[in-house]
Amino acid sequence: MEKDRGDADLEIPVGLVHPAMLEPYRPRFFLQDEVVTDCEITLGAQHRGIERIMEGIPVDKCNIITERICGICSCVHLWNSVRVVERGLHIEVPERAQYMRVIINELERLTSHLIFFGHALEIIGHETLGMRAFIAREPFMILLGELSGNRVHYACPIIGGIRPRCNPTEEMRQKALTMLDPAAEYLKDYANRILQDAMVMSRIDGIGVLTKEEAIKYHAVGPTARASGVEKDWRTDVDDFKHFDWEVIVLDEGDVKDRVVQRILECFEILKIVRQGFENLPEGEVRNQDWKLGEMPITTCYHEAPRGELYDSYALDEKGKVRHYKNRTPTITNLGAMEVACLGEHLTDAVLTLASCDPCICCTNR
Amino acid sequence: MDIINFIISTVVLAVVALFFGPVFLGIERKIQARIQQRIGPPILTPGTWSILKFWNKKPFTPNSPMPRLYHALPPLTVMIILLVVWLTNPQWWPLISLGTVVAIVGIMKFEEMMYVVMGALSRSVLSVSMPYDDLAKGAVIKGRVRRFIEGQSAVRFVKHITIASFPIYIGIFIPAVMAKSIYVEDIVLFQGEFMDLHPLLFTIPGFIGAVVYFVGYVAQLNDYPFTIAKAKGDLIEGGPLEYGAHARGNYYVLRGVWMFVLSSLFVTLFFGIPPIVDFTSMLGISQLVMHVLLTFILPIIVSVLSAFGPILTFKQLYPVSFGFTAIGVFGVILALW
Repeated sequence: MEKDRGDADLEIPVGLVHPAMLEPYRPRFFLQDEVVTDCEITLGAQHRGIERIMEGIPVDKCNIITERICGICSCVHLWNSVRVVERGLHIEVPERAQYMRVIINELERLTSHLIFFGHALEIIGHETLGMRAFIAREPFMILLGELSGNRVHYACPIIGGIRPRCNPTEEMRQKALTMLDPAAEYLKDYANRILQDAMVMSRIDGIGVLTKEEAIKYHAVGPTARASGVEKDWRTDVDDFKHFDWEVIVLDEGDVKDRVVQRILECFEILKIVRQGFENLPEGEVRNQDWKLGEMPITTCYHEAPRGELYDSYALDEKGKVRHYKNRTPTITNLGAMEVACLGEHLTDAVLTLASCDPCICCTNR
Repeated sequence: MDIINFIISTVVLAVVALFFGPVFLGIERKIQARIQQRIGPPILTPGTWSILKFWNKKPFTPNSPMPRLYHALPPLTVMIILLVVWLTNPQWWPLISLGTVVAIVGIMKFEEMMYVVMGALSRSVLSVSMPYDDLAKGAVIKGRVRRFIEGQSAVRFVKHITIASFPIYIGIFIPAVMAKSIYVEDIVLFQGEFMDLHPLLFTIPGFIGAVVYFVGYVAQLNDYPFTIAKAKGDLIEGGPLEYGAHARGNYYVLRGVWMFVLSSLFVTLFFGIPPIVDFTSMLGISQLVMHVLLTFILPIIVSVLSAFGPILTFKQLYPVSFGFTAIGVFGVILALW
């Protein structure tokens, strides 16, 4: 059923510059007293023209720039861009490289979710739990740094495999397994602390409800859609994940609480995947160099970024230059869905609702 | 001699409030930082040194329709709220008959109203006047009045002072009911001499009053979790948002002094130790030192509460405020009984 976009007494525009918004976007809230009756979000303040930049450049260079679309989910952007070529030119990827791609990507997803907890809790005013999210995140950042050489922008996937520096030694593999246990324990305690805090729950329970029908209609994706009962996770379609035993977390209520809880539960699935990855890491090469660039028709790949569906598509000309590059990130539709989810909420809760889809404006404006 | 004592005590109390108030801001930040497993700033930095720093910055003109009035509000309010400390000072009792809890509540109301005026006068660039073309996009609803986020803060302050002030008023009146007098002098004398004190805090109605007063204290300070009128998530800081340079320093002074004043009132009403200034005897000095030491209790507790409390929206604020008001009323009934 459509939510009623009733009349409003006044309008409060918020931002672009605002401490609750980590990146610039402009919501206009239309209010009756303090209840939101309509919301309109304007994006595009930091458009960088990434897709235009890609036109006509070599595909390797394109992949490097693709990684710079976002700092929080850089790995998945690079991986999906690399997958386009691998799919289009039928390039095999060694199994060990597949494992390492998954491990780095999932650790990145975990750190992304922990940023979300920090941000959401900061918005509801619980600074202590917000800061503890970053304490919980730090061991995983260290692990990513040790595995890839960088804490951000790991530059792990390359066409046909991964960079050799991301190939862990046996000693590193053992160390990673040892580092996982205490970090996972802290994360578990932290998650319990959030879920058992009655005051936090009173702020997020029943707020910003996005029904399953609305999620489908406005094409919400990723954890936002899965918290509204939509069972879709692109990782189930990515071959590299078929080596792993994990579950797609789907919740029904579609409120802010479910969007938080969904990500909390997803964190433990991520840990499951990472642990399996390190335990079962196969021996062998991490790079297949037996391929040649050439003309490639427009090829499309989907992947599951931390915030949802990621789409990359492009063609290669006979010189291996990129043509018709397209990239679509999850936040644009998620924020569109949140415009509806925040209707009928108090202004303070409406801002929280917008943040609950974990918007990444850097990806969206690209 | 009385006039000289009166002037000395008035000046000394103002100096004490102006010195310890900003220190409370530092203590609050330090405790919260430790709870959040951070080192936090040195205790004198967030209050004392930052105020000196702000006073020495290049003046900043706010985007306000009445910038001079907007800038004048914090110093004016500091002068007025200092009256609360002065009225509880025994030197003032024989000279002015305003030393009653009713007068104190009136002064508190003035402080609360200042925030409404601040909200109405502040117009930062962070909402309506942001130079960003969004009107061309066209929402479903068009042509409505565009309000600044500080304007919305003023509206919330009106709601806040209507609802969230009840607990502190009830908390102030419980000692008056127990002493059967609205005069601060009688409330203090009811608790005995300094060397033979029987603080109201250690009686059942007095303890209830102290708890209710504490909740009201947090609400008066607009500190977490009662910071909906300045909610960072949407209104950033509300009315005080446009205070910059020396005006920001003045605002910090106001906030610090308000913390001290409310803590001092708590010590006077619930411990029976007024802020007496008598440097001629050890007893007088001890009493002032004890008074100042006890004023640290509430800021320390509020720091811990703030570190663990999210912002309450009106949905939670109404029941919390009404609940503690009801507890306060129960305390009043016990006090009468």
